[in-house]
Amino acid sequence: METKKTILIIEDEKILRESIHIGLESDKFQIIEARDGEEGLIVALREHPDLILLDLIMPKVDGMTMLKKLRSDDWGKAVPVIILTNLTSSNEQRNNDVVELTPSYYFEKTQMSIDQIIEKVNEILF
Amino acid sequence: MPEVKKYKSRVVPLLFILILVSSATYMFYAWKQSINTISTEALKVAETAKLLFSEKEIDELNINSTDVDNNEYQHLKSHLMEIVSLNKNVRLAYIYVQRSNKLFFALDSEPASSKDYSHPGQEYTEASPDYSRPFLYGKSLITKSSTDRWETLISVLVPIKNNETGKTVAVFAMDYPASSWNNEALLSVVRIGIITLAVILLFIIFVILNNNNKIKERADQVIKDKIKLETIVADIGDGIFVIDKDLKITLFNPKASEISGFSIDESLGRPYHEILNFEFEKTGEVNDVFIKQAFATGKIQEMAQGTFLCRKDGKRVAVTDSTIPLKDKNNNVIGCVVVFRDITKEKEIDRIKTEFILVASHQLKTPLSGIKWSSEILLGDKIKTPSIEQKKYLDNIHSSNERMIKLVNDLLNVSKIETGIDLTSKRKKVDIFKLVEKVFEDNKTLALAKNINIVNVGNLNQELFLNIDEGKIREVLDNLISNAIKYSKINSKVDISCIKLDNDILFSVKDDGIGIPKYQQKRIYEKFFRGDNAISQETDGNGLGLYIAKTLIEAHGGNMWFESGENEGTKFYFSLPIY
Repeated sequence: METKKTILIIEDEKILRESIHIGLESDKFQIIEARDGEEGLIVALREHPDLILLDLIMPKVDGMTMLKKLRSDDWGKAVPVIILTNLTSSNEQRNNDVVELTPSYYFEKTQMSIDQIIEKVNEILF
Repeated sequence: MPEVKKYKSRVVPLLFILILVSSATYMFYAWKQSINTISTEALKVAETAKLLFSEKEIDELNINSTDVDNNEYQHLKSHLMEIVSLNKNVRLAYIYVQRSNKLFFALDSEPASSKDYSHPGQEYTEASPDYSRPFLYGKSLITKSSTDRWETLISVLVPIKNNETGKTVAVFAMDYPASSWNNEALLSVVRIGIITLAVILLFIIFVILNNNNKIKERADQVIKDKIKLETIVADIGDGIFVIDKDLKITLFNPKASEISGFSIDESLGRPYHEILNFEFEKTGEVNDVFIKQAFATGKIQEMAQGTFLCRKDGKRVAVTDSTIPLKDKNNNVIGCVVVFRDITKEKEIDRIKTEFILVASHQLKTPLSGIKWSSEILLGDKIKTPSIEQKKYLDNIHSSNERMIKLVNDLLNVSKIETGIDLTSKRKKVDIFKLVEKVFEDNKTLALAKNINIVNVGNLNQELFLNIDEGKIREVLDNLISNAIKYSKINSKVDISCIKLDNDILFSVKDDGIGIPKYQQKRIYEKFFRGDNAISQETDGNGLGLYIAKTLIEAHGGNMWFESGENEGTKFYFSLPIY
C-alpha cells in the first residue's frame, strides 16, 4: 500500500483551513493543521510534511517569516511550499523573497478553486 | 512686432540721408542763384553807370597820351573814379576801344601814380576774346573770371554805342574781384548750411530723446519684469536653481535653500555638484544625468523616479522634477534651470494609500475566499450531496461570490491604475502564443455551456516571447474571450486569433453576439459603463473590464480597438509591440 503524503495547512482563518482540509481529504493524503506561523514552524519541523500550504498574514509569526526560518533548516530548505494568500503579489520585495525561498508556489486564494488547489498539490507531489 | 521694429530702424537713417541730400541740392541751387543775383545787380549798376559816358565825349578823345591834358578826359576820369569809390566791390572801372582788332585803353579810374594805371592808348594785351564781343554783337556781358596782371577778376562789359548807327564805339568795363562774388555767394550757402545743420541737430536731438525715452521705457519694463520674476522665483513652491555652462550656480531660490539646507550665499558661484548631490534611492549612486543630458541634448529632462537629494545636514530628501536647458540665439545651450520638489509627503501618502488598498482588498477577499471554498465543498462530492433545489441556491451563492471577487479585484486594479502604480512591474519574457492558448483552453468550459464553437486560429505551434507582465495580459485575454462567449448567442461561434506582424503582435476575438450599439460605442471604455443591450442580456459584469483591459494594453505600449454594430457581433483587437 502506498504511503500517504502528509500535507500541513498553516492558515489562521478556521473556515478556510477546514475547507482546504475537507477538499484534500482522501486516501492519498494525511492532513495536519496549524493556526499561525509559529505553530506551523514547530509542527513542520516535528512532522516533516511532504508539502506545506501556507498563508501569509497570520498572528504571532507571519507566513514569510515562518518560511525564511523553515528554509534555514536542513530538512526545511527542500520541502515544497504553496503560498496561498489574498495579498496581491505586486509587492516587489515579497516576490523576491518567494524567488529566493524556492521551491515555493504563489497563488491568490480568490483566484484558486478547491479543485485547482488539489490539482496543484497532486502535480507537485506525484 | 519685429517687422515694425525693423521698419522703424530703417526710417531714421533714411530721413537723415534725405535731409543731407536735399540740403546739398538746395545749397548748390542757392550758390547758383546767388551768383545770378550778383551778376544781374552788377550788370544793372554798370548799365546805369554807362549813362555817364556819351559816345560823343569818347569820340573826341585821341586815345593816346595827349588826352591826359584834355579837360574832357579828366571829366570822364573823375566819373570813373567816382563809380569805383561808390561801389565797394568794384576794383577798376575803365573804357576801352577797338582799333584794327586790337583793344586799347581810353581811360581808367586809377590815378597816374597807381601801379594799376593804364595810360590812354595803351594796348589791353591781357584781354580775353570775351572783351571784343561787345564790339561784335553790341550786347553787354559778364566775362568768366580770369587772372591778369591785377588779379583774378570778373568784368562787366557794357557797350557805348553811336546813337545813329548803333555801332559800338567803346566799352565801359567794371572789374570785380572774383573773390568778392564768391564770398557773397558763399555767404548765402553758409546761411543755408547753418539752417541745415540746425535741422540735422534738431533731428539728432529728437532721435536721441526718442531713443532715450524708449530705452528708459524698456529699462523700466526690464526692471519690472526682473522684480516680477524674482518675486515669482522667490515665492514659488518649488526649489529652483540656475547653472551656467561651467555648471556654476547663478540663481538659487529660497525654496531650493530650504530643501537643500544650503543658504543662497553659500550656493551662488559654486559648481552645483559641490553642494547638491542627487542620488539614486536604492544604490546611493550620483544621479545628475538629467542635468548632463539637458546640456548634451538641449531638451527638457525629467528626473528618474526614486531620486534623492542629500541635504547639507546629511539627511536624504525624496525629490522629483526636471531640467530645462537655456539657449542662446544660435541654439547653443548656455545653462540650465533645474526645478525640483520635495516629495517626501507625497511618497508617504502614496505608500499609505497603496498599503490601504492592499490591506483593504485582503480583508475583503478573506471572507470571499471562505464563501467560495465553502460553497465549493457543499457543491462537490466530499460531503453529503445537496438536493437539486439546495444545489441551485448554492450555485447562486457561489456565482454571486465569484462576481464579488471579480468586482474587488477590478476595483483593486482601477485603484492601482489611478494611483499611478506601475502596471507592468512584473515584466518578463513570455510566449504570447502559449499564453493565448492557455486562456483559450481555460474558457472552453464556459463556451461548452452555451454550445459555442470556440476556435483559435493564428500562429499556432509557434513561439514568440514578449516582455510583458503575464498576469496582466492574461487578465486582458480572459476578459475579452469570456466577454465574447458571454455576449454570444447559444450555438454560435467565437474566433480567436493571434498573429505576428512586423513590429507587433495582433490579437483579435470575434463573436456573433449582441454587439455594441453605435450610439454607445464612444463610452465603451468608461469606468462602470455597460451597453444597454448588455445589461438586459447579462446581469453579470461590472463595467470595469474593458477600461482595465485597455489601460493594461496601453501600459504595455500597445493599442486596443473594436469593430461592432448592434446584433452584428463584435471584434475586439489589441496590439503589443515586439521587443
